Amino acid sequence: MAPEKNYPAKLFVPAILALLVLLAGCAQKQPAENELVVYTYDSMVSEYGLGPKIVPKFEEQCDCNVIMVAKGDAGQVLTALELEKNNPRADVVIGIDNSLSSKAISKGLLEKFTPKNINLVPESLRFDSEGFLTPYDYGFIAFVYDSEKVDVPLEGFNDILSPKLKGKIAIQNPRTSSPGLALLLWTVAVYGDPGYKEFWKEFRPNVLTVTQGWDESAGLFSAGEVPIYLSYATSPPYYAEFEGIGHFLAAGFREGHYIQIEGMGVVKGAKHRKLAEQFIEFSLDEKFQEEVPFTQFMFPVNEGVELPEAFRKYALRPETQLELDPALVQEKEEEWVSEWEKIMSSG
Amino acid sequence: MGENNVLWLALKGTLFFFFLAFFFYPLALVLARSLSSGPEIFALFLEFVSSRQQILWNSFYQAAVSTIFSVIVALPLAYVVAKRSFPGKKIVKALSLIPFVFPSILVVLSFVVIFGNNGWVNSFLRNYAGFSEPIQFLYGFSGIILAHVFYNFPIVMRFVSDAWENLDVSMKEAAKTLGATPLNVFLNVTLPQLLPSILASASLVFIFTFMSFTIVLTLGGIQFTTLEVEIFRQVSRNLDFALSSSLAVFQFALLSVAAFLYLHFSKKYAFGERLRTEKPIPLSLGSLRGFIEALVLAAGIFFIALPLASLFAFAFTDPATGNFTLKAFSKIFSSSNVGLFSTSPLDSIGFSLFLAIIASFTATLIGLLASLKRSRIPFLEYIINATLAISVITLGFGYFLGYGSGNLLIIALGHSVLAFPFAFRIIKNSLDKIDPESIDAAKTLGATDFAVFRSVQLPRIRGALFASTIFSFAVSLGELGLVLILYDGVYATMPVYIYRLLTTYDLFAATAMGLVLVAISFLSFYALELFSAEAKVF
Repeated sequence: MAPEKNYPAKLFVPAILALLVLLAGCAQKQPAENELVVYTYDSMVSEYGLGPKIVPKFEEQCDCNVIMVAKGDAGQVLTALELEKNNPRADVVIGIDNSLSSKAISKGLLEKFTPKNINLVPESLRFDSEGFLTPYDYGFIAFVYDSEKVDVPLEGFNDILSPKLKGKIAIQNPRTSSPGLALLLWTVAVYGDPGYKEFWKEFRPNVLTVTQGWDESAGLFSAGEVPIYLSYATSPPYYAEFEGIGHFLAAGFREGHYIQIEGMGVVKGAKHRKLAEQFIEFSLDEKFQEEVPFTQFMFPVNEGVELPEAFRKYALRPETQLELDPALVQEKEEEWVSEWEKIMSSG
Repeated sequence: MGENNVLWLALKGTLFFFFLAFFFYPLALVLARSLSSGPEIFALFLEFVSSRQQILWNSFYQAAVSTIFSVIVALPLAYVVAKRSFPGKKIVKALSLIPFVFPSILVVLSFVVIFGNNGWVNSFLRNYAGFSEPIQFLYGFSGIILAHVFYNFPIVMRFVSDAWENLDVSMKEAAKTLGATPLNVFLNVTLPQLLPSILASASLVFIFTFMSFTIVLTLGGIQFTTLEVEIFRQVSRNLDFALSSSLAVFQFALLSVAAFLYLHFSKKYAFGERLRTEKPIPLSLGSLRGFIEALVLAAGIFFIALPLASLFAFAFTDPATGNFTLKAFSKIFSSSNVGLFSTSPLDSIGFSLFLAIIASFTATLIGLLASLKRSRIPFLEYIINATLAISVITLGFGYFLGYGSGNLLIIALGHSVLAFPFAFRIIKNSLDKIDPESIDAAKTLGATDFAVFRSVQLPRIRGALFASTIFSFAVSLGELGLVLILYDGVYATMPVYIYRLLTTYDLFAATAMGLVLVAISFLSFYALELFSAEAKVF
């Protein structure tokens, strides 16, 4: 009947072959000599993020090409590094905070490096005593609340237990979220072990829901579903500057606040070690640090940088910073999280 | 003829190679990774599973209850949509496919806007019914079920109404002639005929709800967690690939049963070409029966459209003042700060469309190869169908291990694997519908298999090929998990962009972007209803 040459499947086979050749081509591309590959979390490369601000500045002075690669959240960045351990593509990793650092170091994903200009960073923020990670920003975990809706004082952990706040707070799951884990660690830092368990038993009725990530809690808060959610002491400047809302505030607790310090480091087996070191040094420079507040909504580690007005007015800078020893966290995390889960799911 | 055989063999080889490269190989890598830590992984796995039976039970129980309620809610509506014609029917049918692309975080948000403490329902009760305290049922088990039913009942409705519309009426008429009451006819004739479509869609809903992540965690209040959450956590918090892979394999084994049932029941009701079917009759409000039917329809439309409407209302509201605003939309369409490597909203729409187009064509071609008698590979379809039961986290890591990241084409082909079970089913059903006699007749006249395909089969499955393309397109458009694992931050698709906006505080712009995603999908589903009304999708 009809001649077969009309049949599109004949085109299809070469098309698939062409695709495969293309794939093979893509898989083999190697980074060029003066190319720095940086792994980081997604919000860093968003159009409003820190990445687009600092990369051109660095490229200008290094005469190199920076490729910033985002991998979901910080946990997923580590996952990628672990998977590529034998043949790493990344030279620098940005976004390993004090709760993830011991994991990254014990898995052997980093190389030791301390930049020459580390003195720009106050002693108290140099969280990695072993010398793998260089801090670039920091912030504090805090409960952020709508001051038009919350009419009880929020000045300490005791206040957050008030029966008046029943079902009014959204927090994050320590199993899936870094601030969620930080809150659990915060309560351990304040009440000790096993004291934190009592706190959570009392706190439980006030929690409306425990969300998977920070973004869902922030969403519930924005949608007016909860007047209080677990966020950062540096969240209010966002609402003030970008949404014109001045009554979303961070509650300052007299016990102090758990600190989150984010760091970057050289990836073990980095192919462009020199550039990587240059980049980390640059990260402490004013040119980098001045972009931190309005892109990261965190404090810059370089104290020489002047903070924007919204930060001076709305960001909370606690007097006491709390922190647990990373080694202790590494050892006890699983146990604490399991205990937490038992308490939250009982009754 | 000889050349023909070579070509068929090449096609068969292509099919086999595709699945080898994008299914078996990546999964083997995951499995190897899981076993690489030695035999103690089995002990670790057993200990984990036995100490967390509650998690398993939770996953199973909420999925089962969600599925049962989805079916119950869907059936009356499926009847009206199948048996009655009414203005806007195509719109309703197109809307019913939207849940396939709806980002789950936006499902949660829409529920909060409607049923939350300050949601529409509670504001109404407070202002007009004198309630002083909001009623809370959104958090906990009831919240999960409510959201899952809203999200999934349109799928069941769609499957069952397509089957209902195509029931052969001979048996029903025979039963009537023998004096059976309408209830008896329904229970003994119609229901058994519908059962395969009900069970097929129920299997699908069971799989979807078992793997549900965001809804379960956010609305589950403080008590719920599921197996999928544990898989995610072991990978991305504990960097424990061995444990997470073994959990993933375990979940895959469990859900494969449901995926098998889905395919099994789907095949039981391929629509025959020569069946005598009833034409839908116009809906009339004249009788009590017509009135009830209209009521069912109105309720159905209301429940399908409500979550969308709530998001519309939300995206157009100024968070500071509560007034109408276009701010969220203008933000996503006028990007201010697009660097070399970052994605503007328009870029993200472009990336999504590009991925979805490649994925939809590939899925449809592969679906066709897997369905045609000469190129199909027996039993492979059962295995491949199991992609339904794979968590994207597992598949994503398989691709990562095998092909690295940052390759747009790999992501697109991954999407085509995810879309395959749908594409395959749509095309296979349509091929099976062709009367074997017309194929035999052509063969007797000496036509080659290709000629038969070209002149007999192809003209009759054009609609199905279109439907398969549209459907795979939508599956790719709404997919987030695989992209998040495999992209390099450059190719931010629409779902990634939504995620990005959410992680940078901007819920309103995220909602606006979600609506753009929904609008594009709706238009393509509507095109499907308009241009291939004959092709029964399910």
